Amino acid sequence: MVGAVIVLIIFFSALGAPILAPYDVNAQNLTMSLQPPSTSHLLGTDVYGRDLLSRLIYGARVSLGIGLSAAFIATTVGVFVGVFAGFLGGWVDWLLMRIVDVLMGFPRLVVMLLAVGFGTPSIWLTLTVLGLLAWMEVARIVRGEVMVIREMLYLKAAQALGLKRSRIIMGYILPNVIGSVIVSTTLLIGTMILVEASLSFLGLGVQPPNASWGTILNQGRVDPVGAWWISAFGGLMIIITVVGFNLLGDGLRDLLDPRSLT
Amino acid sequence: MGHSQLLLSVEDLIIHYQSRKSTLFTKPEIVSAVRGVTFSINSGETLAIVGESGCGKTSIVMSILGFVKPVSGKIKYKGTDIWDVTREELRGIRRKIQPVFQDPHHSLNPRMTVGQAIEDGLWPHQYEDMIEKQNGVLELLRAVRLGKEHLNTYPHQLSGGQKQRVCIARALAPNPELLILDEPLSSQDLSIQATLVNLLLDLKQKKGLTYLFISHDLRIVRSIAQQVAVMRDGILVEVSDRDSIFNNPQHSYTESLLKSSGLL
Ligand SMILES: Nc1ncnc2c1ncn2[C@@H]1O[C@H](COP(=O)(O)OP(=O)(O)OP(=O)(O)O)[C@@H](O)[C@H]1O
Ligand SMILES: [Mg+2]
Repeated sequence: MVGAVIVLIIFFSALGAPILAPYDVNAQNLTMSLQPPSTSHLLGTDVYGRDLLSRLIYGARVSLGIGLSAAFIATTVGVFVGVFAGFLGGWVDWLLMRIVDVLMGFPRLVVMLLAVGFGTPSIWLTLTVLGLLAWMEVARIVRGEVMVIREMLYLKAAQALGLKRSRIIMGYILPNVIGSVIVSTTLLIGTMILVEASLSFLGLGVQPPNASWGTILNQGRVDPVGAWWISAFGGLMIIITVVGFNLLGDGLRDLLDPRSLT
Repeated sequence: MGHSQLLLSVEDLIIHYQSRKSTLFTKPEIVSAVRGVTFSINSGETLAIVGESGCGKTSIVMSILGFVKPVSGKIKYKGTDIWDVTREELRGIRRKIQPVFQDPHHSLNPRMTVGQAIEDGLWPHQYEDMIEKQNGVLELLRAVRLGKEHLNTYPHQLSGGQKQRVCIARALAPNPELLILDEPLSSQDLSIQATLVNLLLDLKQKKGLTYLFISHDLRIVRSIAQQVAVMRDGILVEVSDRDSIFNNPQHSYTESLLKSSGLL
């Protein structure tokens, strides 16, 4: 479980940022501007002389926070829609799936740019837009699973007992889709971190002086050529984290496989 | 006892499946699984339906349980057409008709313990408090000769025979009048088959149940049924009492079934 280790390390460094960060995130020191990695600044400094390592550690809070919350929003909406469509079937299913089709047909980045362009860029706007644009995939996965479960003999047995729909959904359907929901949510967190980074990179997501990995990456682009460490370490953090969540998702998929249960 | 009271009647049942969705250019492909089946079961009786794989037995069962809508025909439980009632009425009727399926491995929710599975069959208002409900569950476990130690186990920890007992206990939970047993023994070892047959005979007597017993094993049918219906390709070729079927078969298909199982 390399994925779990990576994710845990990043998670705890985000939590322990005030303790772990060697310098104040936003403390400027113009005499130390654009220092390459050294013993006093392990990963170097940016144009304002701020310590890059500290900014990356604090940036983990923002990037992880946005990734987790956006994935949570997407999962909640997706599970809700997927269960209703899959369990009720008929015209409810038809309508919900057409909505999903239409929304998935939109190019995600364009919609996001539009939404962010019309509002004022902020963490909250980024988060909501990300979450609301990503639930469709979850809804499709959940709907597919529910349609399989609906044909299972244990569901027929439950219906024959005259159980209420609410009981069947809570006791028989949700517990059996939760495994794949956890997997897709984990993978989604990685995607969300990546999308947040690209938005912030374009200057449309998190706004400076708040540090997120995307804004740091953006700074590496704007800052004078030669300060390679800013883009390099910022990019590395994003890659490691996204790979970490993907590995974790794959690991959980094997672990939670219902075939290993029955 | 009301032994001759009519419990379930199936009249001219026809069931089709659409095996392919129709598109602009293709007609839907229709499989005609049940092609006009009529039979009835009196309270306290056991009727067996025998027939080869794919002849339509499970389709009849699914239609009686309210899962597969027939093209035409009537299914009446105590005179009420189960396809002509409200959802709420159907919920009530369903509890009186309980199924036990062929494959116990897929008949139990993998995320529920044995205790929870059986408890779901007891209606909340049936019992005063949690302790009484727990006793109800234990009583049902004991009725199928399982014990307290199985209460908190999950299905994957049980053997096939034990799972089938749990399914029977769950089916008994709502106090049904009719048990529909769809090849409940064919996934089991011979020794377990024998004990389950005894269990079923015992339960029937103790609880005054009525059985619709689906099987393709004529030996088991002979030991459990009073009435036998022989089915082939979606129709019943012969319906009669057990002794007539086994000693004096009228239809050549019944005869060939008996011959192939060494009973004639
Ligand atoms: N959901 C379905 N969709 C399409 N065809 C079906 C469906 N269920 C059953 N059939 C077809 O209907 C016919 C009757 O099937 P059914 O399951 O009722 O037979 P059976 O007598 O129970 O067989 P077995 O002894 O194997 O359980 C078969 O040809 C089967 O392929
Ligand atoms: Mg069958």
